[in-house]
Amino acid sequence: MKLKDKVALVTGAGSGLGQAIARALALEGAKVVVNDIDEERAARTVADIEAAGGEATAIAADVSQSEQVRHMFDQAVARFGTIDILVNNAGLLEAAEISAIEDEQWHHMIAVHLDGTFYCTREAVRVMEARGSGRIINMASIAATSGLGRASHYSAAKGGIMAFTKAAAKELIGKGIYVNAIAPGFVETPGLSGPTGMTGKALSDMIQSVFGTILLDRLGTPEEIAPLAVFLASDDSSFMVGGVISPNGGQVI
Amino acid sequence: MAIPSLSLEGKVAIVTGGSRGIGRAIALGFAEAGADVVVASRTLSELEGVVKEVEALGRRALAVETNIAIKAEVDNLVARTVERFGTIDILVNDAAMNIMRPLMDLREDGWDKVLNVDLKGYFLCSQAAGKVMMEKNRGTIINITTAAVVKAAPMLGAYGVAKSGVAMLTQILALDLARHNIRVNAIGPGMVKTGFSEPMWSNPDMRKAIESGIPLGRLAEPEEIMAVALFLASDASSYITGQTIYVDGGSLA
Repeated sequence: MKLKDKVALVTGAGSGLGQAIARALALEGAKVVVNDIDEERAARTVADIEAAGGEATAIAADVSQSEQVRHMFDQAVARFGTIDILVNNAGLLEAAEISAIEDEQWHHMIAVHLDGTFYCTREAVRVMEARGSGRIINMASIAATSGLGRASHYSAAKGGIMAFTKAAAKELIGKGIYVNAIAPGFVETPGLSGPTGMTGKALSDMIQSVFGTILLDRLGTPEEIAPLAVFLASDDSSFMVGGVISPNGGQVI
Repeated sequence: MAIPSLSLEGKVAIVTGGSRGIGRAIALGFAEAGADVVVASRTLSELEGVVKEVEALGRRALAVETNIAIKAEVDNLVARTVERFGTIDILVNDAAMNIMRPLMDLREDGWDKVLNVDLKGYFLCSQAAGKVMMEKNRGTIINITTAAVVKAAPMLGAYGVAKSGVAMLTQILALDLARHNIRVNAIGPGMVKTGFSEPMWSNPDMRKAIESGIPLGRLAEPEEIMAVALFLASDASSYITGQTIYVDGGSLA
């Protein structure tokens, strides 16, 4: 087990990628704080981890609200004593053309991704710098490197996360805190299949017709992205600082 | 939902440049993960040590004297591998050479030598091993490049140019081979503490200058590159193709 006795906090872990990451970290021995904006979803992930023999606790919080984030970290530290690993995963994807994006929509997209990543990182660093070690993994996206048409707000938010990752990596490595990012392509999650009402090959074909060919000709699964989080949370990535790894099936090369 | 593992149980891997440095670490790491390993290098006697170490880990090993710049020798490497182990699952292109001289002082035959080994050799090995993988519709190729692909480095002139070619070779092979279920990726290390780079880091002043440009403040150990290669060779990276993972201690961030 690569993460025995480590404490990890994963935001947006009530479904999809965050859920798979929380589970993968737990299977490697980490105690996991499962955050989601929806309490019930977070509890389901915890039950799933416990059923697999892992240890986890659910904390509901909206990462775009700094007070809630601060409270979440207080609770997490009270429960497990510290935070070794933070995965900034909470996010949402929606399609909207620039001319139709309302102020509120734009601000919400930036707030959840960018404010949320900043608020959680700030709280985590306060815990980690006292001990001189820690690992922070941010979820960027191929939207950050390539831009997704009809998702400019999402692309801008993810691009911000990418720049934040590199800046934070440089600033924090002197304190023993490693910051890296994962930039996934399209992964079949409830966040993607829910709004489109599609799954499997139909969803993959639709995505490829709109956003370009995926060389592996399929969407990713949460389970095959999750090992990357384990990799970046463990000593296996001990020379990676400010790095970005993009599991995208060859959609962006 | 099963999380893919880092196991290479039952796999057959070829590692060029397997006698020392990064290649040797990869050969041993892969053996520890369960693979049988074929190591190639220009000097057979230098491979004896690593063969014994692989066998001591309980895996089968084969040493094949190979100049990767010569097609007949590469074909022999692949034929001997298939004859002995029946197949090839993983190819790691690591063998490389450098002539430490500014480009203005590099002779024509020096340029040819470096490009033949560091670029043509990677093509020849990928083509020969790729054909074996195509027959069974499965495989992974990992090219070792360098952070100097992104950031120009002194004294790495022709080497940096050749490895930049390998970065594009990686992408084109990923494009061509995806339909055969073969993933092709690269690792771009910063300076690793090996004999290859010893002329640079053995000088205390030069080492200080190099380390001051690395946010992590130190050189990499070969095992830190091996861990990334193991991740890319295993099913834990099943949605990653056409990518270069830079392992640079933050020097590119």
